[in-house]
Amino acid sequence: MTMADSQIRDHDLHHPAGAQAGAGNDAVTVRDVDFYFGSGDSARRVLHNINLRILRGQIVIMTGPSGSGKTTMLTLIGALRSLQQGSIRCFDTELRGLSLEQQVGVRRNIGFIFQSHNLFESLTARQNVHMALELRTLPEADKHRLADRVLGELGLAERLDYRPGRLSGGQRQRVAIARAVVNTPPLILADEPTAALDKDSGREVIDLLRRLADEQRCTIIIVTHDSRIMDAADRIINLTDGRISSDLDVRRTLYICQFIKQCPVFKDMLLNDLTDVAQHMELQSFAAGSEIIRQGDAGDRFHLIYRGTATVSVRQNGASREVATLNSGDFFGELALLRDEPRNATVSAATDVETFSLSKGQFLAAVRDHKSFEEQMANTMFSRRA
Amino acid sequence: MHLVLTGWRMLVYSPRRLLLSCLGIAFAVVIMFMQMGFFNGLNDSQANLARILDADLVMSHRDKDNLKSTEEFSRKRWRQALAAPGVASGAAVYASASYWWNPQDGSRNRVLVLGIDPDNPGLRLPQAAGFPQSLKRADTIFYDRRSRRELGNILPGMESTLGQARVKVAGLFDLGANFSYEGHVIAGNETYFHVFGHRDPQRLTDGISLGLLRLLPGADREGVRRNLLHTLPDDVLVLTREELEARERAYTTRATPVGIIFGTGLAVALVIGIIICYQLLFNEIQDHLRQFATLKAIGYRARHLYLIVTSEALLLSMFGFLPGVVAAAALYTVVERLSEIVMDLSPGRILFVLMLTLVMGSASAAFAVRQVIRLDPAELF
Ligand SMILES: Nc1ncnc2c1ncn2[C@@H]1O[C@H](COP(=O)(O)OP(=O)(O)OP(=O)(O)O)[C@@H](O)[C@H]1O
Ligand SMILES: [Mg+2]
Repeated sequence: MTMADSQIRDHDLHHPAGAQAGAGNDAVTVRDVDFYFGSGDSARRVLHNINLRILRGQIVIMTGPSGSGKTTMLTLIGALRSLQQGSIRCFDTELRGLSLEQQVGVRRNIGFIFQSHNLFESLTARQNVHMALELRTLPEADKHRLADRVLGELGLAERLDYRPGRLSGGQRQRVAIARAVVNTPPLILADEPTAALDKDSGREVIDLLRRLADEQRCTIIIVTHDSRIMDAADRIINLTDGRISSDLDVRRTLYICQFIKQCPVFKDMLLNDLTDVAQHMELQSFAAGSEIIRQGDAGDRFHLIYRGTATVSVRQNGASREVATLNSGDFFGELALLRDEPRNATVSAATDVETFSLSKGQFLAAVRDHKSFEEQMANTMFSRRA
Repeated sequence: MHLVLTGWRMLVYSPRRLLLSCLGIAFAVVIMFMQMGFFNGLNDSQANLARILDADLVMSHRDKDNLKSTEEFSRKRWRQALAAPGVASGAAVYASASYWWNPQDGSRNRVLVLGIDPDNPGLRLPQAAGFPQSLKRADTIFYDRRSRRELGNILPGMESTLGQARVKVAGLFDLGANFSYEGHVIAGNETYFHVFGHRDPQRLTDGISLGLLRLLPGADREGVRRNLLHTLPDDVLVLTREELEARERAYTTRATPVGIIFGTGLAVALVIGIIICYQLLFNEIQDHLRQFATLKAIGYRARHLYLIVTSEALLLSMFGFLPGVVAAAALYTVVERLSEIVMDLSPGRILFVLMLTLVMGSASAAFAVRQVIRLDPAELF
């Protein structure tokens, strides 16, 4: 069995989180967004050149240090603030330049979940959920049915007529979620939805959002510091000082980790370092017969074969000689990078080949940061013929 | 509709706050009722005399701008008018101020004495038994049962002193005191001349206060009046009875500061009501800022929120109005008994105060809702 046949075999690595490509699949597209608070001399820039594509059905967790602009980003996507520069497309609506009135229209298609539940104490769970339905022209009976069904699905069937005062924290937040999702909005924005909840309630809430994303292809953006819920995300975006400092496709990274962990070079790496490396790996495809690296070129990437077979050949005195065959799990291209020399051999695809590759910079950084990796490399260099 | 219901639910959620606010509003409502009651009481009692006149047109001295003043004009003018085309009949009414001695404690108070011809009284007093025939006996009078209590507890058959004369009470009628006189007395002409015997007899008999004219059926009132004004010297005024009553009602407001006093009182009560109502709404909104902001975030527009707040205000106003109207009714009876001013709680007036109360509610809602309008849902996160 080759490594390519590992556990999550049919995971589509070309298209993150298994979503189909195409503009129609974009839930939110953020382009070149800057944002300033204040004006004139006292203006403070809190977002720097943000670019982001969020696909339908994804759960994106946005995290980062306090004051890094996460909430600001969320309010911009939610049409709660007006854009100053750049553009955000929310499904088919460009948010730049919308009037306040038009913003209200956009917000009706978004479910908002806040850190505190913000329920009316004087209204029962059902009546609170109704507040979100009242903006729609539906027969009263349908509204009742909808509200009751959503609350039922959230495990509150027994609590329809309870006021928030008689509900637990988790139950209240679930009512608030029911209010946010009862109109089946295509986009849900949540800011610290679990911050006020204990561990179990937080879990409950996050599982619920996961289900909504999976079952209704609802796109969900969650701002959180809560590391306990990161696993529910398809994608984790880290914001630092108003810039996207990392953008992690969770499932893809996990998959790549599982794959590269079976490769001796990475075997002893800590999971954390492994995800770092996996995150930066790029999947590249090469048609049968094409050259992946060519002898004499400057070294620019390190490759790990994911699928297919490649042959290594060395040209000497005008004659080319095949010296080795590489298969899934084998790697090549590291020497030129480590020694800063031209490629000493040509590797061509014998069949169609896919490789995970790291750029020179990232490769060197990984080598520098991860002792075990460096040792592994040293060993292999030793054992390999230059 | 749902928003109104939401307003209602928010309102009744804390009964204690609701109760307190209701009491506050009821208080403002009572003050409004009292101010209006006093004001109307004044006007009503000023106009009470006009109401009992049995006439189509009323003649008076040109300068007489209200029925409680004592300008007189010549009886001859009235006689001339009786002969004018379209006039069927008429009556002359004497009126002068005099003193009435309380038979119980001997105190002295000002009353208005009306002098009439018992055979042609010109007054309609259906409730007064024996009127006007009993006035034919010398030195008998009819006494206004609703005169102020200081005038004594007067019953038919009693004797007392009126001006210079001893008079006997022949019967009672209902008119009501006002702010010029503590009471009213009606006398026959002979008795009237006796009471004011100290005056020049010539002028006394000639100087009438009002000349009442009844027109022939189908006569053109306006035409008759114009003709009278044209033919008579310009020292007389001719008014229809309705005009007279309206003038009387407006007189107090016009000639004295009571209109301003009670008008101000009403306005102050209204403002108190607005403040109380605003206070409640303010607290209510403060307690629900996050909720209102959430509604704004999920797509509620300003007018939706306005509707919620206004429903709360109007419902609260209604809640306050009900106990207010009950309390006012009770107070009216008490004040009427104590001050002998007529405090009439007619449906029209109740409606008027209800309207003011609702204005109060809407105004405070309009003030309070600005908080909500200013709310920025982006601050929620
Ligand atoms: N209304 C505002 N006016 C001025 N500055 C603001 C305003 N809101 C936020 N900021 C500033 O903008 C920066 C970004 O704020 P933001 O709330 O987006 O951060 P955050 O990442 O959500 O932080 P946290 O994790 O603490 O919620 C912060 O430095 C904050 O002080
Ligand atoms: Mg924040």
